[in-house]
Amino acid sequence: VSGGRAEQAPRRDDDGLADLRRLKKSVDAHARQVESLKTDLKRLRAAYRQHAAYTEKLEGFLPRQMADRARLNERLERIAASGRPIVVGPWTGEVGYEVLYWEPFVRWFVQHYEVDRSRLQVISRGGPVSWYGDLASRYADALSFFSPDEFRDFAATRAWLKQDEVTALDGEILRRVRSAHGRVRASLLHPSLMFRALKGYWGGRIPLKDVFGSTVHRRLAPPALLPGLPPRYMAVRFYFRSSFPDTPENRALASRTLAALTAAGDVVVLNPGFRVDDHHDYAVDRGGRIHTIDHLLTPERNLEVQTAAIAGADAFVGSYGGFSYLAPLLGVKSVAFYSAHTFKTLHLELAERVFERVGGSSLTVLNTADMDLVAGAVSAVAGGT
Amino acid sequence: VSWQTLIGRWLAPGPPRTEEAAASPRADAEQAAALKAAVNQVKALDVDDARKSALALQRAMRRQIVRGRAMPVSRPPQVRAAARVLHRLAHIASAGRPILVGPWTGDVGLELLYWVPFVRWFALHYRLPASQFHVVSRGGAPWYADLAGTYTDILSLCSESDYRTARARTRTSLCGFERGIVRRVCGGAAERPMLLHPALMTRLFTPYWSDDASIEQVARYTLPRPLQPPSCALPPLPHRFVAVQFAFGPEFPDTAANRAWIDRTVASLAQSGDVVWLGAGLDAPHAAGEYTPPLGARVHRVDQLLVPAQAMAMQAAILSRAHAFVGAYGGLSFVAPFYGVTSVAFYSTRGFFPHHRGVAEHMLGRHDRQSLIVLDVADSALLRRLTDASGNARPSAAARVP
Repeated sequence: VSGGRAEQAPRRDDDGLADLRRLKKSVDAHARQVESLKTDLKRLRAAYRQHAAYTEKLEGFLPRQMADRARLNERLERIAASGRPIVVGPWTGEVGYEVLYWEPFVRWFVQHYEVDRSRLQVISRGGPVSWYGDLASRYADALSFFSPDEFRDFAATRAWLKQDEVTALDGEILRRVRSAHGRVRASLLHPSLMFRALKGYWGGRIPLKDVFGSTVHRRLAPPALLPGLPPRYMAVRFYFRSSFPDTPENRALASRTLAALTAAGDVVVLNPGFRVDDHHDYAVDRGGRIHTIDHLLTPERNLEVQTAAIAGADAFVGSYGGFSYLAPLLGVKSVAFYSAHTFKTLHLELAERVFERVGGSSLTVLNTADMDLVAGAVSAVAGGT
Repeated sequence: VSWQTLIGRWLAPGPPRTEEAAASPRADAEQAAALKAAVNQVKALDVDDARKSALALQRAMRRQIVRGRAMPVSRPPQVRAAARVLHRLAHIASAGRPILVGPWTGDVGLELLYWVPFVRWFALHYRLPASQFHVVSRGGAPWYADLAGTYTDILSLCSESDYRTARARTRTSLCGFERGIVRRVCGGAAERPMLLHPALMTRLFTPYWSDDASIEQVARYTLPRPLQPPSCALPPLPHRFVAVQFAFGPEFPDTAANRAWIDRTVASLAQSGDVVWLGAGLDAPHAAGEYTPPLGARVHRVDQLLVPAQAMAMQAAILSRAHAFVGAYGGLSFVAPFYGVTSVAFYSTRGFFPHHRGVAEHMLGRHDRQSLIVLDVADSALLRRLTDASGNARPSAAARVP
C-alpha cells in the first residue's frame, strides 16, 4: 500500500474510509496495550531479577550445604513433577550404602513428592528386589546385561567407588536397559542425587535430623526361605577389603571363628563363587556342618539369595561391610570384624538409630585386636544365642 | 470485526468509486499511509517476542518459588540459643575478671567428653591464662591440672549426701545448690568473678544432642587432649589388673539380671587375672545402696578406701594404671580411653543416648587413643560363642589384655 498506488487504483468507498479510521483507532489502541504490556513485563523482569539476586545473596549467607540442598530439592521436584517414568538408579555401589541410604532415599522421594510407584523402574545389580519392596514393581538387573567379569572391569574404570556422578558404567547400563526395554522418555533419579543430599552428613557437616529428613527407613521383608538349608544356622561371610585386609592374621581369625561356630552348630557360608567388585572372599570348602549356597546363586540374583540366607539365620558373622548392616535390617543379629579402621563411624551411629527405629536387630562391630579382651569380658556367659 | 478483516476488506477490489469519493484521493492516500504506519508500528512491537518473554518469565518465577520454598527460612530455636551462648562467652572472656569454671556436678563421662575439652577450647580461643580460672568440681577431679590456677572441691563445702542429692547428669541452668556453692566460693574473693557455668556448654551442644546440628557443633568448640596419669596416694595394687566399675543408670539399670551379670563377669575376669573393683563412686545416687559383687581372692576393692573429696582422683589414678576397663556404658567407660586404657562398656537397654558414643569415638579417633568397645549384654552369648572354643579365646589374663 502506498500513496501512489492509491492514486493509480482508486478502489475504496466512504465506508472503506470509515473502516480505515476505525481500524487505525483499533490498531493504535492495540499498540498502546502492547506497549503497556511490554512495560509491565519489563518491570516484572526487573522485579524477578531483584528477587533472584536477593535469593542468591541469602544463599550466600546460608551454609553452602543448605544452598546445595535447596537446589537439589528443586531438581527432585522437577523429576517428580515431570509426569514421565522415572529410572531409579542404576545402583552399582556397595551393599551398605544401598540398604542404609539409597533405598531409604528413594522411598522418601516417593513419599515426599507423592510419586506414583508405577512410574518407577528400579535398576540395581544382583537382584535385591526385596530391599526395594513395593518400589520395585518394575525392576531391571544390570547383571542381566553384563557378565560379572565385564561388570567388574567396567566398575574398575571408576575413579571413585561412590556414584556421585553418572559414570561410564551407569551410562552403559542405562543404554543396555533402554535397548532391551524400549526407548521411553524418562526422568533419571540417579544415586548421585542421594550422594548430594547426604554427603554433608558423611563430612560431619549436617546433622542426623537432616538424614532422617531425606530418608524413610523400614525393616526389610525377608525373601522366601532357601531350600536345603539346616533349620538353624549361622550365616557367615568373610571377605577381604580395606578394613579387613587379606593378612595371615585375618585369615586365621576367619578360620578360628568358623571352627568356633561349627563346633556349636551349622554354618551357611554366603560366598557367591564369583566377583563383581574388588573384594574377594575367604574361601571355605563345603562339608560337615559347613553349608554353601553358591549352587543356588546366579549373578543377577546373588544378593537376593544371600539376603534369604541371612534372613533365615540365627545371626550373621563376617567382615565389616554391607552385609553386616543388612542383617539387622532383616531382624538378624550381626557381628562384624575389622582390623583397620578405614570406615566412618558416622555410618554406625546412623545404623544404630535406624535399627532401633525400625525394630531391627543389633550390630556389634569388633576390632580384631580387641578380641581377647572381649572374650574375657563375655566369657562368663552361658553358650548359645 | 477484527482489524485483519478490515484490512482485508480495504485491500480487496471493490465497486467503482463515487465522484465524491474520487474527489478526495489525497485524503484516502493519507489515511492509507497513516494506517500503514500504524500497522508497521504494531509489527515493530513484536508481540510474539513479548509473549515468549512472558512465558520464560513465568517459568523462571516458578523455579524461583521452588528455590525459595526449599530454603530454610529459620533456624531451630536450639540453634539460635547456641548462637547467643557464643555472645555470652565472648562477654565472659572480655570482662578481664577472674572466671569461675563450674561448678560441675554432672556425670564424670560427660565431664571428660564435653566439659573439660570445652573449657580448654574456651581458654585457648580467647587466649586466657590458667591463672584467670578457678575451677569448682568434685572428688578432686584431676583433669583440670593444666587448665586452672586454683581449684575448690564441692565436697569441701557440703556433705557427700547433699552433693549426691543435688547432682545432675547435665545442667541447663544454675540450680539452688550450685548457687549456694558459687556464693561460698566467691564469698572471700576480692573481685567478683565471671561465671562459666556448664549450662552454657549444654546450650551450645544441645543442637547436636537434639540432632539439629552435626558433630561439628561439638568438635568446633572442644579441644580434647589425652590425660596424664594423676599422682595421688594409692592403696597397694596388683601388677596387672582389669579395673571394673558398674554404675547403674538408664543404659544399665539396677535389675536382678544385671546384678547377676555383674557377678558372673567379675568372677570370670577374676579367674584369669586380678580385678580392681572401683565402686560406683560419686556418680551413684546413694553411697549406701551401692552394689558390690561377691569378692574373691583376686577381686580387690578400693571403693571403701575412697575419701569423697579425693574419690575421683583416686579412681582416675587407678584407672590410668589398669590394663583394661570393663563396666557399664557411661561414666568411667568414657574416661579410660583418655588414659590410653581400652574400655569395654556394656549396656542392657537399647535406645540410650547414642551421641556421647559418637563424640567419644570422634575424640578418641583424633588422638589415636585406645578403643571404646560398646557391647549389648544381650549379645554376649553370641560373642562368647565366637570367641570361645576357637583357640583364640580364653587366654591367660596377661595375654588377654592389651
